[in-house]
Amino acid sequence: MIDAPYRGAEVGERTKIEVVDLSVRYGSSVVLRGVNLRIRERSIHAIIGPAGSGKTSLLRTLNLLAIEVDGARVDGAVTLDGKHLLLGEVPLAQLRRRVGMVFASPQPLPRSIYENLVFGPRLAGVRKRVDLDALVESSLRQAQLWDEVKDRLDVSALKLSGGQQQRLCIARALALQPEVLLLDEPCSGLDPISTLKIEEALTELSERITIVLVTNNTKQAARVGDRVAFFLLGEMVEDAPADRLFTAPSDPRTNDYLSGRFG
Amino acid sequence: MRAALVRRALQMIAFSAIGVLALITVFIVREGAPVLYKTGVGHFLFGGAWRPLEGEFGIWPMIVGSTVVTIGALAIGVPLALACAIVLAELAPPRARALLKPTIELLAGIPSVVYGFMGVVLLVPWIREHLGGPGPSVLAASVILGIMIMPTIIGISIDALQAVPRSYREGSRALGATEWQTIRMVVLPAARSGLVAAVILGMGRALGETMAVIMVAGNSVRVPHAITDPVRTLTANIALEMGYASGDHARALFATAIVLFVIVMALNSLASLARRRPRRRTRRPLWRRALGALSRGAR
Repeated sequence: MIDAPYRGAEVGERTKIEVVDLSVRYGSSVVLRGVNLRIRERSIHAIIGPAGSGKTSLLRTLNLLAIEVDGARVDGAVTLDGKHLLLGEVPLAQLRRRVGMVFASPQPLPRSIYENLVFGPRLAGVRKRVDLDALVESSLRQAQLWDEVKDRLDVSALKLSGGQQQRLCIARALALQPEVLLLDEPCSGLDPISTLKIEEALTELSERITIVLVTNNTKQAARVGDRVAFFLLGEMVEDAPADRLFTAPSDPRTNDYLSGRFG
Repeated sequence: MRAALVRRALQMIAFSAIGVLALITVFIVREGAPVLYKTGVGHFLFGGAWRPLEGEFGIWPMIVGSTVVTIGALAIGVPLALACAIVLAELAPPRARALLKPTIELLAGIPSVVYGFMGVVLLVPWIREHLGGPGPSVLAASVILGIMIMPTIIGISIDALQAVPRSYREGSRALGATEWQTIRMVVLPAARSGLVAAVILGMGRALGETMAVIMVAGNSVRVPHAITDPVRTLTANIALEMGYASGDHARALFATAIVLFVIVMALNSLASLARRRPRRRTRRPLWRRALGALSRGAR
């Protein structure tokens, strides 16, 4: 372990999510084709690639949000701890609680900060005020937002700044105590300081939960990713430990993308 | 040059439409005001006796009539219309929506006399046989109006529901909420102002409807005591008597129109207020909201 040549090689080797020969199409347009990917427990798996490469569709398949789009068709297999998601082996509500998701643009509900955070737990059956309060505080702390909002939890979530809203959405996902956190370009449109705060939060979280991070920002992938997968036009081109993908990519297309020749 | 001409012409046409509206308002007020003055506003509004030939003009029974019939129509129409809008906007597959929405809009185009006719032929005899009373009644008018206002409410409600950002729904689904929980806890509250506007416009429609109501309401000038009692609405009062009224009687009918006009105007402004109001982000008690609105108004 000490001699592990790459950072990605040393983190948890147990498989959390496995994607086998996954294809996703919306109507007649194919957005993902034959994707195989193994996501290791308690690691940050970054997914990079230009727009239209299917990154988001992959993410939305991992919590089955993709199948709710009209006309969507998903083939292949996705397993979470060995359970086949596409075969319905994990009930939908339970899956969404175990696999939290944060969207590209912050999407707080038009309610107070507190109400946003307890929305999920309440649905999951947490009723006691003390339990909810504790969840609110701990998830806000994990998302590095507690100090900024602790005195105004009853203020509308829409009054927060963009970066705060995004961290609120992360906290909201964390309030369900998920095992996996899916993030879809969580820092697009945020300033560097907010981005830094979110990245710090993610790094800390990855000690306990599995994180899949879709990002347009290759530098961000390099900063926080343990492993990085490169997607292009609906296919996965390369998946490697972060250090190796950025220093010695094995596929020329990865190299072209990273060196800015396209994308 | 030509563009300027076209613009001018269009402007003229637009303003003439508003002009006609203004003239109608002025005319109604000019015709009705003297009787209001002579009888006294209080006596005119709350007087229980309508004996136009003896010069007694109290429209209280008609105000009550319009009110109960409208409330009845809302009680019947609103739940059905909202349920229908939720199904069409949220649950139905796109193909079903594409078929059903235009169909419902078509419903709004059926002449009211046809609704009234259906009421006379089917509903009124049914009420007479099964519930007693003469047949034409508060209930009959409420049912017919309830059906008539549904297309209005459904159409606007669907627009309001579809205006709720998809992100709210996805956020909610991603937190483990079911489709129905998402609708109930996220979509409906977010669309609330639009839904309120839809109901208020439906209310305006119910209040203003005349022909269908005349045909099924019975039109006797009495405050109703049961839902099977006949009733006369403000609109029916004007339509029924205008043909032969003259002098103060005709002016009293214009005064009735003023009352109706004011009520409908108030409802419409309420509707646009509900629509324009920024969505409430957090829940505050009603009295605090009212206070806030007052202080904003004062500024």
